[in-house]
Amino acid sequence: MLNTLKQVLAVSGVSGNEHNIAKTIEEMVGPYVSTIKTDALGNLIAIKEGKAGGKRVMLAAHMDQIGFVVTDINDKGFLYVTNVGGFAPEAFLGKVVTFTDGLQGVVSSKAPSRGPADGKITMEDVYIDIGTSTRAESEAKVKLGDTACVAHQLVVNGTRVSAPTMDDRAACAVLIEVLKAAAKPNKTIVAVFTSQEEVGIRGAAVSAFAEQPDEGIAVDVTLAGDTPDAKPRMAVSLGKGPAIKIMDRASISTPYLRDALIKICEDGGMAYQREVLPFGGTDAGAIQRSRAGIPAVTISIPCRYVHSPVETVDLADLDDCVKLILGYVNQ
Amino acid sequence: MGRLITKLISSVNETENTELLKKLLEARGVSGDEGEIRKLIREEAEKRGAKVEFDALGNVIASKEKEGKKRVLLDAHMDEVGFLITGATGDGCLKYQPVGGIDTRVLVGRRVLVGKEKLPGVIGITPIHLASESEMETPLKHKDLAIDIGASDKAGAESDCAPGSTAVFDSPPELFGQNMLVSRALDDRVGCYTLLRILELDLPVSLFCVFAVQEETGLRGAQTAAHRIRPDIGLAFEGTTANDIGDVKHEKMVCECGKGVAISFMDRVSISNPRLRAALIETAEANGIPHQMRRGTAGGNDAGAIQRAASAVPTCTLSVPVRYIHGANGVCCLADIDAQAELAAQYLMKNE
Amino acid sequence: MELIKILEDITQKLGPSGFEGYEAADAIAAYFKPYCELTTDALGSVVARMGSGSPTILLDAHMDEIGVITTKVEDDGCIRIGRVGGLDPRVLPGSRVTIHAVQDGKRHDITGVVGALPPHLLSAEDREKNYKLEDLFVDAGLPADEVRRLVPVGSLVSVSGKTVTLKGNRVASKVLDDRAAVAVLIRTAEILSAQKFNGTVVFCAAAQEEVGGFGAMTAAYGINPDWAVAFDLSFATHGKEAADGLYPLDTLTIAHGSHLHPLLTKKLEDAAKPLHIKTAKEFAADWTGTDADDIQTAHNGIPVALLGVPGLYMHTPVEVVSLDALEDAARLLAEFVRVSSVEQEGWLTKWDD
Repeated sequence: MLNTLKQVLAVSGVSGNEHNIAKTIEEMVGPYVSTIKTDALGNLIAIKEGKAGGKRVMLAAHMDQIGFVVTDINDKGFLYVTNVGGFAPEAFLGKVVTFTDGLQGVVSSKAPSRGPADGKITMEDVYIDIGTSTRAESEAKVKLGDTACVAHQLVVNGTRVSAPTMDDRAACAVLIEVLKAAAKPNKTIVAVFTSQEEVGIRGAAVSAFAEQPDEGIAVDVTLAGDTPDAKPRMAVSLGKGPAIKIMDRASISTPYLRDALIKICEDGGMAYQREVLPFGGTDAGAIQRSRAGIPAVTISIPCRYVHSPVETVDLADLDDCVKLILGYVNQ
Repeated sequence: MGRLITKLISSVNETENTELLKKLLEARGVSGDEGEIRKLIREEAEKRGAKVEFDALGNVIASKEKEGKKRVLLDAHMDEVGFLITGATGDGCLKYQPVGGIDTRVLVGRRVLVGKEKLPGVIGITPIHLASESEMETPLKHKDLAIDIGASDKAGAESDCAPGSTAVFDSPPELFGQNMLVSRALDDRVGCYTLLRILELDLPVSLFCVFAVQEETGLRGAQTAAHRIRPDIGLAFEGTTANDIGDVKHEKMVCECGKGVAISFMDRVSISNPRLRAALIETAEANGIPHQMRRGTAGGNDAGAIQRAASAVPTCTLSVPVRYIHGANGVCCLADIDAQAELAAQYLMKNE
Repeated sequence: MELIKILEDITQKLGPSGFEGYEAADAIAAYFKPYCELTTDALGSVVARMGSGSPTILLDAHMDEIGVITTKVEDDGCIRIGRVGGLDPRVLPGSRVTIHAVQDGKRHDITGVVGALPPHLLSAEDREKNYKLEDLFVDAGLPADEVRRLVPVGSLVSVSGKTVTLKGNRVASKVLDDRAAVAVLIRTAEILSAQKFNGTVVFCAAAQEEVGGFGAMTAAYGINPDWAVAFDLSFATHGKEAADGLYPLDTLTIAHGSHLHPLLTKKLEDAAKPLHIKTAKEFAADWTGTDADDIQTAHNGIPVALLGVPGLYMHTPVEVVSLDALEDAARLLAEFVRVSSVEQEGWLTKWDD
C-alpha cells in the first residue's frame, strides 16, 4: 500500500489539469482492467467486468487536488494567482509549489511577514516568485491559466503518513489496490478516478451520467475529530477503520448501501466507524442525483489537517478500506 | 501575431451589421420574459437559413445539421438582467425584485421601461437635502427602492402595469468615442449577434446555435438545451467584466476593452478544456485575430451548464469585454465583437 | 378521507431528508394505494401513478422533514447533534426529544432532553446570543458506555409536535411543511379517482427537498412528465391582506418568476376561477427555493408551475395552516389536471408571445 500511495502522491494534478496523474494511474491499473478510457472533463474510467448479471458498481476516487492558477504576471515577473478549490491561503504561505512541467516557485504574500493585524490574508495578497525579474522572463516559463500545487513531500511515522495530497490520492491508492486484488469480482467494477471534485464534484457528475452504474461508492478523506479541541466534534479517529458516511452536506448515504457495508464489517470482524460530517461533500452527491437517481454511499478515510501541506492518514485504515470494498464487490 | 487572413465575417461597423446589433440591443428580454428578443432572433435566424425550434423553457435552437459531422453547440444567452414587478405601494409606486445580479448603487436616478408596452418609469430617492447621514453613506436595498410610473394609487399603478410583468433599463444603444458602444444588455446580446453572424456561414460542422433563456437566473436554459443536443463541443459567447479604466492595477482588470476577444481558462462554474482552449489561442494567433486571456476566475456562465448537462462536453468561453456590466450603461469596443465572431468562424471552418 | 385525519397520521411519522424510509414513506404510500400504482425510486421518493397514456402530468410535494442527527457521544455521555436540512436551532434548547435508538438490532426509542451551558455560567455577552447547534447536546440520562451502545453515530432525534386543531378551521402541527401538501395530493388522487381526465397523473412525494431538491430532481428525470406542478408551503401573515411576500392563511398562492412557465402558471390561475378559489400571485425572480427549480431543468426541460398554501411558523414544531385552504388546493389541482390534460400537444412550446 505504501508503495502505491507514494507513486500517486508524487504526481501533480490540480483540478482541470489532471492529465499527468491520470497517465500515472492508467499505467498502474491498465494491466488489471478490461477497459480504460478518459473523457472530455478528464475523468479516467477503468472497468473490470464481473460475473454475468452482476450489478455495475461505480467506485469513485477523485484524482484532482487543490492548487493555484496564474491569473496575471506583473512587470517584475511575479505571478498573481487565485485558488483552485477551496482552502485558506495562510496554510500555503512560505511553501514551495510545482507547476505541471516541473518548474518550481515559492508562495508569498503582499501582507507583512508577520501577517496583517486581523490575522487573515486573502488570495488577492498572494503571489508566486519563480526567480525571474521581468514579465518577459516569466512569460517564457509560465502562461496565464497554468496551475501549480504545493510541492510533494512525504513523512512516514510508523503507519501514519503525511503528505500534501492525501485528499484524495489516499483513496486513489485504495482503488488501485482494489483493482489489483479483485481477480474475478462478482459485481462489475466501474472505477472512476474523477476530475474536478474540488471545484464542485463535476467529474463524478458527468461520468455517472455516462456510465449509468447501478450503485455508486465514493472513496474520499474525511476530517478526524481526534486532534486537540477538534471542531467539528466528530466521532472519527485515525487508525480505527474506514468511516462509513451517514451524511454530509452533499449527500445522505442511501440507507441499504450504508447498512450493507456495516454488515460486511461486522460479519468479518473488521474495524469501522460511523461518520456524520456537518459540512463538505464527496463524489457520492453527484452520483446519487445523476439521471433518475443512483443509490450511493461514501467510504471515508479518516484524515487530519485536510487542505494543508501535511494531510495525515493511517495506512491501516487504507488497508481496511480495500478489504471492505473487496468484500462488497465480491458479494 | 501571424499574418492577416481573409476575413470570414464582415465588420460590425458596416451599416446592416450595426443595425442588426442595435435591434438586438433594443429588444426586451428579462430572464423568464424573453418574448420580444425571442421573436426577433427567430426571424433573424430563419433569414439565415437555419432550422428554428423552441423548447419547454423557451430557448431558441437554430440549427444547421450536417449528418456525420461534429455536433457543435454555440451558446449565447438572450436574457438580460432587469426587474420583476411584484405590486404597487399605497401611493402608486411599483415594487420589484431584481432579476439577475443588479447593484442598487447604479439604480438611483435611472429611467426604466415597464412591461410589453414599454411604459416609462423612474427610480428616485430621497433628495440629498433631506437625506440623513446614514442614507448618504449606506447603499439602499432593493426593498427600499421603487419604480415611479406617475400613478397616484395602488389600484391605478397595478392596472397600468400588472404584477408579474418585467422592466428593463431605458438605455438604448449609442455609438460614441472611438469605435465604442454604450447600451443596456450588451451582456449578452453581443453573443447573440455573433451567433447570428456565424449562422450566415457554411461550416463543416453540425451546428446548433442556442439562444438561451435564464442564464442570469442560474444557467437554466443552456442546461436543458445541452441535455437535448448532446454536443461534442460547446462554446459560450459572452460579454464579460472589463475593469480596465479608472487607475486600476493590471492584475485587477480581468480584461481590457479594445484588446480583442477574451478567452477564459477558468471561472466559478467551469474550467475550459485545455485542448480546446489551446486550439482557439492557436487559431487566433495564426489568423492575426486580436485576443487576450480573461485574467480572472470570478463569475460563471452557460459553459458550466453545458459541460455537465449530460456526459462530459469540452467547453470554452469567448467573451467581449464589457465595462459597467449589469448596469444601465455597459460599454464595449466594436472591434472586440468582430474579434469574437471572427475567431469562432475561423476555428469552426477548420474543425471537421 | 378527511384531510385532518390524514394529517394527524402522516405528520407524526418520522422521515427527515434522506431518511424518509424510516416511517414516513410507507405511511404516505398506504394512502395513495387505493387509487394509484406505486413505486419508490432510488432516492426514496414515493411515485404514485393514475391513468394511462399521454400527457403525463406530475404533481409534486416533498415528504421529507428537517431533522436532528447524532454526531458523537462525549465521554460524559452527552450526545452531540447535527442538523438535517434547515433546522432552526432556536427551537431546541430545553426541549424534550425522542432519541431513535437501537437495542439488540431493533428500534428502541428513548427520551432525552436538549441541554446547553446554563445562562448563569455564560458571559453577559454570550447570554445575548442564541445557542449554536454545536454547543447543544442531548442528555439521555445514561452513562456514556450505555449511550454508545444504544445510540450509534447517525441516530435520529425528533422533537414532538402533535397535531392540534385551532379555531377558524386551522391546524397546528410539526412537519406541515410539506406533509400538508402531501395530504392534499392524496386528497387530489381521491377526487380524481371519481373524475375523467386525459393521460396519466403522477403524484410524487419527493425525498430530500430540505437538503437541496434532489428527490424531485431525480424523480422528475425518471418520470419525464410533459408538465408539472410543484406544491409547497408559502409564508403566511396573520392579516387579511397580502403584504411583503406574506399571504393570508385562507388564500392559495401561485408563483410567478423566471423559472416558472408563464402559460402553465396562467392555466393554474384560470382553473381556480370557476371554483371560486381565492388565489394570490407570489413572486420569485429567480430561485423559488422549492422542488420547482429542480423539476424545471430535468431532461430537456419541463414546464413547471408552483402552487403554495401559506403557513405560519415554518420549520418549528407548531407550523399552522388553514384546512379550508388545503381542501381548496385539492379541488384546484384536480380541476387543473382535468383542464390541462385536454390541451393539444406542444401547447407549452409555442412561445408565440
